[in-house]
Amino acid sequence: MPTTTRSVAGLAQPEMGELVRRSQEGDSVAFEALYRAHVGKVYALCLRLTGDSGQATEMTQDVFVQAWKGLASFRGESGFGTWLHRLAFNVVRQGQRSQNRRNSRVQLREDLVAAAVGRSETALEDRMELERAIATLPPRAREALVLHDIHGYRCREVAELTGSAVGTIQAHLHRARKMLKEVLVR
Amino acid sequence: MTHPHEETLHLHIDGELPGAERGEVEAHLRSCAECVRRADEVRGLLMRVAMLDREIQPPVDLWQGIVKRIAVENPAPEHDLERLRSRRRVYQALGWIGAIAATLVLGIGLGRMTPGPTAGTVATLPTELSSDVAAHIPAPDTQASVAMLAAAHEEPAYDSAISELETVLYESSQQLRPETIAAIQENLAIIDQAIAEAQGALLADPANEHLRQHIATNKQTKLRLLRTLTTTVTADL
Repeated sequence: MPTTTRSVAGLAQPEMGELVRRSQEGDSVAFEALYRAHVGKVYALCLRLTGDSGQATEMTQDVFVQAWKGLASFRGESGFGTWLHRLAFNVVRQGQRSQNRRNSRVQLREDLVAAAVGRSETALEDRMELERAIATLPPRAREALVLHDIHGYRCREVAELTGSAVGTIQAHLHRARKMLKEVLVR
Repeated sequence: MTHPHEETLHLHIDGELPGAERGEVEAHLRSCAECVRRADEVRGLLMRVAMLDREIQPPVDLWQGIVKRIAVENPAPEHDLERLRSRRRVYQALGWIGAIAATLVLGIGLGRMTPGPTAGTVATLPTELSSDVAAHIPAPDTQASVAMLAAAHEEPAYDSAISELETVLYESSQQLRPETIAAIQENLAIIDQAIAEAQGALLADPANEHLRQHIATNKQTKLRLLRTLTTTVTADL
């Protein structure tokens, strides 16, 4: 099993396409490479949307199990990462519905500390404050902010991912930023 | 233009405003310090948010858990993950053969019956394999021997060597306690099953040289074990 982790940035598009094709043919080594390339982004999304590292870990596993099962349905209209994110989003939404959680618990510290190795103390505190503030946002506002402002999706793409109208996403985004600003100046 | 609404300002910053409206807002910003300050506040916040990591590694490696779940939830035999797991089981089983062999020999040594009927009632046992069989069995633990074994194990002579020793062992089994006999049979069955599984895996993956050599190595282990057992059993005869 490979021990090094290559992020998405380390894999060129044709290479990614080849891994997807081989995975669709049942190549577990190729699928593991896809897992290692995408797990960071999937986990980050799950973590920020749930605010709970235990749930995020479980949901990240769910995402890749479902991805393996559903690989045949991936036709390449969107990028594989986007397809995974759509899966992740659905897994999180389903998890939130079944657990009936309305407020997320903020348990981000350990993961963020681990991710911040090598950064200054000030930068870490700033990030921690911001992550905590994001975790306090209402779910739909948080989704819009995480997908658009952190993961870089356009409003139209967020709308597609979440099954909402573009105008709704824009409204959620605006609300999220306003609330975030208010929390951060306190 | 009057000051743009907050939401309009956000849309402008995100590049989401349609052409005409974008022009109006840009024109307003060129002359309104207050709206420039508001826009800068939003940009400052977005810059802070954009610095957050897009990728965060989970606290533990999730891959093994994912493999296990897929194997449980998706047991189709032609699936590559299932083949990978069954191949791994075979390797694990073959790897245990050495431990079983050592235990078996020790068990036989401890479990032999005290001398019973006179030597005259026991069939005369060969102490050497027939020369044509012996010629096909190379010395163990050399790379060349493993490669030769890979070919040798497919030779009928190799299997006949094992068969000959099994015959000798079972013909002399009356010298052993029933529980010792049972232990021998059980452990040889484990070894045979492991070899059979490996041979089954080889059918599905005939080009797998590693598997082929594994089978050969463990057939030789079985052969050495049978030699040792027969030697131990017949030592006092």
